[in-house]
Amino acid sequence: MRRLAAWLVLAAAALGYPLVVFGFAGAPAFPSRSDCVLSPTGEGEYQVVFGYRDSELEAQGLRDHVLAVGFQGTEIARDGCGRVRVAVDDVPSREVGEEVIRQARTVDLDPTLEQEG
Amino acid sequence: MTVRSLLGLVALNLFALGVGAGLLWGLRGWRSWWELARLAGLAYMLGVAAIGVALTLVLVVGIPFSFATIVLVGIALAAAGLGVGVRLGRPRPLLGPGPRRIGLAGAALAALVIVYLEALFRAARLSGLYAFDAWSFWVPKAKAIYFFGGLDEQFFSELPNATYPPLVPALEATAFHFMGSPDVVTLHVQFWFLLAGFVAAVVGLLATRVPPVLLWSFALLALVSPRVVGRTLEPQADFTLDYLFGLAALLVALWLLERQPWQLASATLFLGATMLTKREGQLLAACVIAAALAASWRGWRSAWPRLGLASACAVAVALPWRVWYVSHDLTGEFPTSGVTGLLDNLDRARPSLQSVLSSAFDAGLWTVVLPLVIAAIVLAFIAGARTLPVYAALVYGLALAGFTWAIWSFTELEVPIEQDEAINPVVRLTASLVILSVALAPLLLDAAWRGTDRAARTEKA
Repeated sequence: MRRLAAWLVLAAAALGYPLVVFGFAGAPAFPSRSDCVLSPTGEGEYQVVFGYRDSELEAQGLRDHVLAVGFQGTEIARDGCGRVRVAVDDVPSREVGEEVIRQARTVDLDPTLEQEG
Repeated sequence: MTVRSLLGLVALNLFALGVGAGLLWGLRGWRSWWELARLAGLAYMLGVAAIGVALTLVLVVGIPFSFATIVLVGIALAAAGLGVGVRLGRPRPLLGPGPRRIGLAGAALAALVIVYLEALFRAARLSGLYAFDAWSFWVPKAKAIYFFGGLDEQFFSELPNATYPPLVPALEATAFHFMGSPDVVTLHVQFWFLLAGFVAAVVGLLATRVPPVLLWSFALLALVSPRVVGRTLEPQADFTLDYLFGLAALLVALWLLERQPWQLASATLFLGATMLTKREGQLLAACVIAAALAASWRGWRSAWPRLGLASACAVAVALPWRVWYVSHDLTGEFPTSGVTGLLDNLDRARPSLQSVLSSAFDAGLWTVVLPLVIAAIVLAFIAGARTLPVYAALVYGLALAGFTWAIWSFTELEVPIEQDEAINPVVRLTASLVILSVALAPLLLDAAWRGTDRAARTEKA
């Protein structure tokens, strides 16, 4: 009986912890690339994102185009989800960001406003 | 990170287990399937070590590093083990008697270790590549092997620590192949497998020799050390080195007590892998051999030739990498002061020792693991055991002296070293002794309890 109890303790721990986690936290999450895109919902600074590319070379091409049409301060940076972001950072308010987006659309760019991480 | 990457890693580690089981069959054999289940951790770590060593040789020789190469190398290793087993007439395994009684206290401690490992798996699954050395050169080396199919001399020479051996980058590149992409997030799970494999190997080796309470309590104590909790999943070579060294030192200790040939043969493979994991692996391997030579001086006629042969085999395994980097003009392996330059820097001796000791006994990093090991050594000696405490004291003592020498002789390091533990090189060195304690401390305490270091039950292969 004691021998069985010892193995029951082991089995309870081995199975119990994952079941408890499953019960409280739900099924395991598998983050996607969209998890690195933060919607502009909170306080703080924003960024105007001109696009994401799979490689730095492709991102440099987009950045050079954006700079050429006048959006100074556009930079590239890895987004932490395997892509390269082309964006203007440190946008102080939502209104300023939306104004930048309005201007960009006049030169056939389609940026989005994101919260800075 | 994706389900595919996770399944790829599961496949890789089952593959390593299969390769190691084949090797274990050749080296030792097993009488029952229960025995294989108990030694599955050892089989897995043997598989990891053998695959790592073989793939390092593949890289050095210049054979294209591809998925097919990895699979063929693994099959060849397993087949070699099986062939040796058949030739030595290993008996066909039976179902055999069930596992040894563990007791409620032992089961409770084992349950805590299991829950700890499960929790660590959750952390590993979504860990970012933030560890400095990992993103600075370990993982870039692995990516270069994965993308270029071999050692790219120019790329390696431009990375920091170009002469560090490529066993861990080769294993990481193998993981990339099995995952189907260089997924540096899921890669952390591979290091979880290594930790779990090490714990399983130690438990499997000691389960028949020491009481479960001793075994699991020390495993738990070392695992919950803040440094182990925080750093063991980082995709760099430090903890992998410690696992390989810990198993090598444990198997040599068991060989000193029981003189089973498979123990020394397995230790030889782990020593070779240790030397191919990081440059301080050579120092640690030398400490194990020197301690074993001293601890076996009474039976030197029998022991020393065998230890000499084991050392020669381990060095032979590690030598081709050294030949490769020397022939490609890569430098940085040896101390800046030169082998004889210590006397010019005598003022560094004391602060170097101080750095090593303060790091090794830092309760904020390692809790009380090393003080307890020292107590275990003293108690075992007082109780009448000789071989085991002498061997353990020498391994720890020589390693601490070796670390002091390393800090003393690398004159570009400012002493005393008081950096944050994240970038402190001494902390990385002393981790090996803490991991070793998981394996040696239960044996020492058991010897202290029974008043002898002869095992209560020896294990016949």
